[in-house]
Amino acid sequence: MTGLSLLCSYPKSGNTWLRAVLVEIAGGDGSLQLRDGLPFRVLPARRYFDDLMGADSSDLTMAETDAARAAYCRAVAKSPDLPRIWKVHDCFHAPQPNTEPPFPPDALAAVVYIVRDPRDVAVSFAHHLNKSVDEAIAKMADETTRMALGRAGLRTQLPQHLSTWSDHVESWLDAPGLNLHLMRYEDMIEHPAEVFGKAVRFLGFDCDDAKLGRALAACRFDVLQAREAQEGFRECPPDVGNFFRRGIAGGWRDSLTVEQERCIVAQHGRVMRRLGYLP
Amino acid sequence: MWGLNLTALELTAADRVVRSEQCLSTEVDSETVLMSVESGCYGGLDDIGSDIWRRLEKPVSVAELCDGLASEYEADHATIEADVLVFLRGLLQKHMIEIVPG
Amino acid sequence: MSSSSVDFSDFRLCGWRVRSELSLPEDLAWVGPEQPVDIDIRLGKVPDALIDAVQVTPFLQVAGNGDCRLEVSAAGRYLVRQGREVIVQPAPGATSAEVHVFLLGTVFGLLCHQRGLFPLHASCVRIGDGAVAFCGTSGAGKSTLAASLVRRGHALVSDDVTAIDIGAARGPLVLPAMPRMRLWRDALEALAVPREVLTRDRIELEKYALPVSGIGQFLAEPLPLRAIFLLRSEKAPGLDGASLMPAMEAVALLTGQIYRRRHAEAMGRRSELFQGAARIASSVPVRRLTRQLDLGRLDEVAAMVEELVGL
Repeated sequence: MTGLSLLCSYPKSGNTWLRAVLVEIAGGDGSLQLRDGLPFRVLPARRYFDDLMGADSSDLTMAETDAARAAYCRAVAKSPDLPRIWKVHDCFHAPQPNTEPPFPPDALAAVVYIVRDPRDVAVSFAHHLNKSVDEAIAKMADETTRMALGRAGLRTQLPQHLSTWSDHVESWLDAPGLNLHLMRYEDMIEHPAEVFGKAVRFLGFDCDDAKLGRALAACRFDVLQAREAQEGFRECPPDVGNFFRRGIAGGWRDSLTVEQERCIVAQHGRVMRRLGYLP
Repeated sequence: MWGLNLTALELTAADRVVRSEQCLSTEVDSETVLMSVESGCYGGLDDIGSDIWRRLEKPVSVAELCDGLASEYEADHATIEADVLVFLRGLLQKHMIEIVPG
Repeated sequence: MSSSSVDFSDFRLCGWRVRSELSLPEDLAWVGPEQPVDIDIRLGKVPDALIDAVQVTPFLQVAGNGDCRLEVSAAGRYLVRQGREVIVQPAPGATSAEVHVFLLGTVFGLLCHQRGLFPLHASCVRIGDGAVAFCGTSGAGKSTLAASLVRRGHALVSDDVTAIDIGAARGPLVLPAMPRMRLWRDALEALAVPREVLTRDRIELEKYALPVSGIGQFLAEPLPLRAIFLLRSEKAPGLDGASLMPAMEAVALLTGQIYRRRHAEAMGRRSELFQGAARIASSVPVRRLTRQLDLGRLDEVAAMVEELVGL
């Protein structure tokens, strides 16, 4: 059985765009639809966890589900009837110290890690969470931040440990034993054919330039925006107006205050430099 | 892609095929519903599909299968063969039938 | 060890007479005619692992003969054998509420499998003269919808695990389970359930057990299954609706919604369950029910369901 291929990123970094392009390539021209959400879904979903692990995750504490994540990943990899490609927002390492990472390399075939300038992430994240930019910045610097935490009610996803933005990036890039390919959102915008082409082939898809060109055209930002306006996008949170918002690089320049930008650079400067976001 | 048999398109009339042991089948109303354990895929067969499925209980060559169908349905052989190959390739892709070697 | 030296009481579950050394919720107490004991629940030591396990997860092991071992370290260990015996080893410091969570959930589901029933991951209420079951992914809102229907006067049949007797003479029959529901805080607030009747099962979770007498009635008799709904949430308003599923989809859905399906398959039930799903799909309409997931619209959705079922 082949291992799993993961499409990983901190939220709001271009993961959905990549997934949309993959849908067009894997499913054929015109197969993309937004209404029901895209395939290549989030790996830590309760429906699969409960089914494979034999326990109702809704009756388990977060510590208990966290502890079972590595076994869950392996179980998914061993099930021939489950998809091979999944989206992941968790950081690589487990939230508790001395615990196996939720993504044991022996269960994985390939990882595509998508990264985006944290200044743009902050603006987009604020919009997605329906919170202020300052709150988004604070979350990105908080190592206890989780997606889908859901205390008062049950979410369909398990809570995902993000850690800080910097830790998230480094945990994946420096994880030993991974077959990892890095993509930068800014390069996806600047040189889409080259950057998406590399990723798509890395994932093992057979794709000629013409097909890739058509997929990229079908997934151009303004096209996705228009489609969302028309048919809706299931993955957009209920109290957020639209998922596809601006889709540019460097938009932070007219959204962040000087103070906010300084704060992000102070918190994440080292990793930003490593990725070429700072000189 | 996800657990599918990608060599299915190479199936020809000379090949011998049979139901896969890993494929379950059941009847609902007048339809046959298949489930492949290996691919996790489901399939629903109409009357003709169900008839073909019945004929796949033991290994049979695609050509022989088409002969049987052509006489049963009084249709021309070439059309039947073309349609049956498409149908069987679909089943093969989802691991519902297998090619018998030799 | 003679049973007369041990304290036990009798309880009713799905029509089974359960003799238990462990105290179970009062609302399950056995009332009714004499009937031989179907299942024994004892306190005792449960081994660290099943020797001949054919399937192992961090929580559940299945042995070649169908025996199962469940462990949630804060609650305890449970050995479930041949549909007739359960041995419970509570974790030190575990409350009875915690021990019950898994006993009345997974262990109950495993007993259903071992006894040849078809347990569906669904909540079920009586509407009119038949049972209506709601399936859906964890978090889709099955229990919440069932609770809003119970509040409107429809009796609860089961919550979370719906045990179906496929082979019943007049078609698939739902066996009544427990007169209680488990709901999250947000749903309980929307349903305006008074706090006093609730038990919080696990301190870390905002999930509560609600005795159904707090909002409505329980049906203690088996009931023919009349309709199944797959719950699906929709982001945009104004798109509520239901559509009938064709046979193949219905079979696929039902197979996929079997409670503890993979573990039942490890017990050797795959083919039987597939046939069971087909039996149900042949005689019970299965519909996809789409509605905006909004706790402020529970009554509207409940009314839509009543209408669809023909009430």
